[in-house]
Amino acid sequence: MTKGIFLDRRAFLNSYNFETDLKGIHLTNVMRPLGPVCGGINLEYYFSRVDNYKLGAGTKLPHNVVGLIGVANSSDGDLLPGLPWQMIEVHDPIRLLIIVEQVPEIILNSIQSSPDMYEWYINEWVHLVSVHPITNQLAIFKNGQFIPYQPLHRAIELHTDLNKILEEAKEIKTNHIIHATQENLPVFLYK
Amino acid sequence: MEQLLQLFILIPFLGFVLSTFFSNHQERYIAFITNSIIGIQLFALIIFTSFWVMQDSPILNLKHFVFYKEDNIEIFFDFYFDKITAVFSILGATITFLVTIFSKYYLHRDSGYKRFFTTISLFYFGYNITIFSGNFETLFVGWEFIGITSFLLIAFFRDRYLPVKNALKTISLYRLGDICLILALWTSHHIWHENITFFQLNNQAIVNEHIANNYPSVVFLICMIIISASIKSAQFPFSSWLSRSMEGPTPSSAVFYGSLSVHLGVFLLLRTYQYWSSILIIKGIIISIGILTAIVATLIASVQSTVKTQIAYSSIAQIGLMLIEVALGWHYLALMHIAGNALLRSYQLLISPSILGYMIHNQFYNFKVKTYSTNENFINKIRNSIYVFCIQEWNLDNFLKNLIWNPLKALGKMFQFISNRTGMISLSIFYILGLIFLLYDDHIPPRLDENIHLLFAFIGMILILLAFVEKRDALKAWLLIIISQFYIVLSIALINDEYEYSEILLYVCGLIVAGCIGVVILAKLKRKKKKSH
Repeated sequence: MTKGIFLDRRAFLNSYNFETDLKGIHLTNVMRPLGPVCGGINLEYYFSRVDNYKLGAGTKLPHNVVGLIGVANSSDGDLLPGLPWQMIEVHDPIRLLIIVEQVPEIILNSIQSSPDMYEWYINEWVHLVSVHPITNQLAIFKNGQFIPYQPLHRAIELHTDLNKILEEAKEIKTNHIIHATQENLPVFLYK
Repeated sequence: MEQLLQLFILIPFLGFVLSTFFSNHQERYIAFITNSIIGIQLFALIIFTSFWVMQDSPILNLKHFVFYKEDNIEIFFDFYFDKITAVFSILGATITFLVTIFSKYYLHRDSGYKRFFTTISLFYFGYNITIFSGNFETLFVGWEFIGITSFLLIAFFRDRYLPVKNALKTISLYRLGDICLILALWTSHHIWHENITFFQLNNQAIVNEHIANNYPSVVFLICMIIISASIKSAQFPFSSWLSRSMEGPTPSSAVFYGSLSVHLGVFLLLRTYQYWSSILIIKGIIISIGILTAIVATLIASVQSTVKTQIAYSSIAQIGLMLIEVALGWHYLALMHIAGNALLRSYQLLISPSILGYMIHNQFYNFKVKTYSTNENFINKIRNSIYVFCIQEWNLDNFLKNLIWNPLKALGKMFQFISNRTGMISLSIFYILGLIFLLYDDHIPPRLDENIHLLFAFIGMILILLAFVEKRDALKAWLLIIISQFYIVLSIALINDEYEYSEILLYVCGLIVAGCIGVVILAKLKRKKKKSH
């Protein structure tokens, strides 16, 4: 499914064959850790970015290991949850998007199989998209059901010179989130 | 060869000045300058010391810049080099060099990058002045630099409350030590009737003669030096500031409180060894402080919950042992102990944030299940009481607070009515009255003449205490200090009639210059703060 797509090493790839899993049992097992592990990391990054002093760990410079279980700023003070500033300033936080190549009904059955797994999707803590294995129709999970997805643009531009795009791209002023998103390159097809 | 000694002071100073020229974005240049300067210093020190050793290690003394010369006062810079200086200087250069190389990438993209490197360069400059100092005045200058840069680096994260509070605690205690050092300086001048150098102390016969003639003064001097050294090295009962001073970045904690700054108390005692080596009771005091600190700090270190404070208290315990070695005269052992402890603690502090990685490896191979017993026998009761006592750090922090800081604050708060507008006006009127007293001191009754200076000195002290408790306005605190100095000058002028106009003029000129610089800088900072809001 991801052949030829440039993902910038930001994707987790799980091997799953839709043909051999008609009831969705394997899918349940594969998707069970996705919420807590991947979604948890994603949200931890997000919240540490939102408020680094209270929800994150501040800067790593004065960190002091407390009780071998946590980190505080020097000898007194609160234990710091979250990630330090040096860890989160590299990327902008983006909500986790899970793309499953399976029929939407089977996916719905497997994620509803346990409430712990379901709450990640029903509360939109992570996004879920299903790719129909035969028709390649995208369906996004919203409000408890899969709604077919209509992209805004029907066609993707084709460019032959990647270097020219990279050179003319806008440079960010600071890595504050308002400026940082202006650096994102649009999705093109490159030859 | 002696002339080369000033080189080892000038190189760090050059590094400090050069590093201020670059902005925060040019991290590469700041780090390059600081690293190369300290590297050059280390290299030069190694070559110099090799030559020095090859010439049979003579003791070098260089009398340098004379600030002020009069009949029996001569304030001058003096540089000195012996085995103690050799060990401390190479140790300092090595540790600072390694730590600044580490910090180059550790502090990447921090908003205080330039501030950190500039302050460490200034600290290194002050450290070298202290190490190479040949008399008390030079030592004091270096001591001050080290104190101020320690304070600046503990309060590195000045937006948060705790770093600033702990930095204030540390610097207040340091100032107490500085007061003791100045008293020692003054007593020393009183005993010898001239400003002596440490080189002259090597002549044991003359020293013994002076000790015999002025026994109480010498004991007082040595006690002041011991207090100052105990404060600097966090010995008992002044151990509480060290664990609270780990608020700065990890590399600065490694340089200051692991290794260099905290061993300066031992350095002070080593330097003044000839003063007190023949007085048995002083040796007893130092040994008892050392033993007490070693025991107490070891106990406290074993109950600490955080890594850095545990390293701090272990370091204090080792320094207690070093005091014992110095008092017993085993100086080579003490120097090796200092070098070992400094290198070990800076290593431990630098790796302390990643301690879990090391511990996991240890746990994988050497895991032992901890057994707890709920036995209520006598030994366990004693053990638990010592445990609780140690968790409170033997209440040393509260002890210092109640003994020293709270009385001063209470006294300051009592007189806070002076600091409003009418109080200020009446103080200025009072000052003018005092000046009139000064001019017409023949016309006032002799009884009043003898005691009026006490009143002005008292007002000066009150003003200093007011500045101590001033929490809102920095400019006001600064002005209170300057005005208090004017009162003190007036009171000194009123004490004896044989003052020299030139001395007072020199002091007042320096005071006005310092006051104006302070006012300008504080106003600038205030404007900057308003703009950023």
